[in-house]
Amino acid sequence: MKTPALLLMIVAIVPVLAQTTGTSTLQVAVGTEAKITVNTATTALTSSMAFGAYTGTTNFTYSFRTATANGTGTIQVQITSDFSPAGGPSVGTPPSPGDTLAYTCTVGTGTACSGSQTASASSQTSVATVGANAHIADATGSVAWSLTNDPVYQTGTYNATATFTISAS
Amino acid sequence: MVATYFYLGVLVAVTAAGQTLTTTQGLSINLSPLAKIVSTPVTVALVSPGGAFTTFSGSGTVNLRIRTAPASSGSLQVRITSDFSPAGGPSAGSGDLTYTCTTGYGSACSGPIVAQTATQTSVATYSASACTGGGGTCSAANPTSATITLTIADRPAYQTNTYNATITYSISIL
Repeated sequence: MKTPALLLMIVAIVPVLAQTTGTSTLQVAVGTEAKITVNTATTALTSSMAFGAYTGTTNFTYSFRTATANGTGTIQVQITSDFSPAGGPSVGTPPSPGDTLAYTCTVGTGTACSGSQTASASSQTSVATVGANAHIADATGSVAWSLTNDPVYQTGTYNATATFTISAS
Repeated sequence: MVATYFYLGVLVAVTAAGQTLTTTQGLSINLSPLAKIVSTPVTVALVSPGGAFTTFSGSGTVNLRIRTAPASSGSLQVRITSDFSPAGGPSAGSGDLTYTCTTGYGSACSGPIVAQTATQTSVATYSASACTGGGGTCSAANPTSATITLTIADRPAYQTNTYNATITYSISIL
């Protein structure tokens, strides 16, 4: 007769932390960027004397990051919607030779446009430029407008739209 | 270390020369608290959602298994073990990198949290008797997951380039 045997088996899972850490690479590609905010929603052009030019100022804030080598940045403006209604000033089709919407530029950082520029309805014209490796955060600038006050204009209120474009490379 | 033991009694019936003999075998399994990171993303790309000078952000999901004892808990943490390089870009050491957390199981961090280069910061915590897989008081998924969404402010001061940093995830039983 065989005697029953009692066998005790113990299996212990040893607390081995097979892996307690892991790593990842964080990667960010920083490219050229530019941003502009026009702070003057409507720029009123007013005249202080009879047939004196209508003047007013548009303020804006801008930021740039340009490439370290051969980078550049520009701010430009174009009259994307000419004065309306008809009978008043016009950038695209001035009622008289010599009627212009001119402007001068001021920027906090960078190079402002040189002298008096003539705004165009058909192409962008310069407001400011920056060079390579520019890192500008929330700088301020302005455009001071001057519109010929031609007696041929009919009395009325006329609106136009000026579009500012900023770019960086 | 707190250990949990399970005893399993096994009855074996043996027939020999017309007799039935019975033997009893006891099995003991010591299930210790355990935690393991199963996988991490190789690369987490932080990209801009659009618009100049907003943020760069990206998410990384860590898969893990965890088993805590009735009197212990677990913790998943991160540290920036290698700051962004080359120089001229963002810096975790300067506090540029923040993150928020979501988890499939456990308690996610209350973010946003500023990622650190010198110390570990929390991603998720796991309570006593936590376990992975099976549902109920355990996680439904096995492995379970935790996701961090990392964000860097897009500052004009950064020079144009591609920058890399290393983030290290650590899981431990407390």
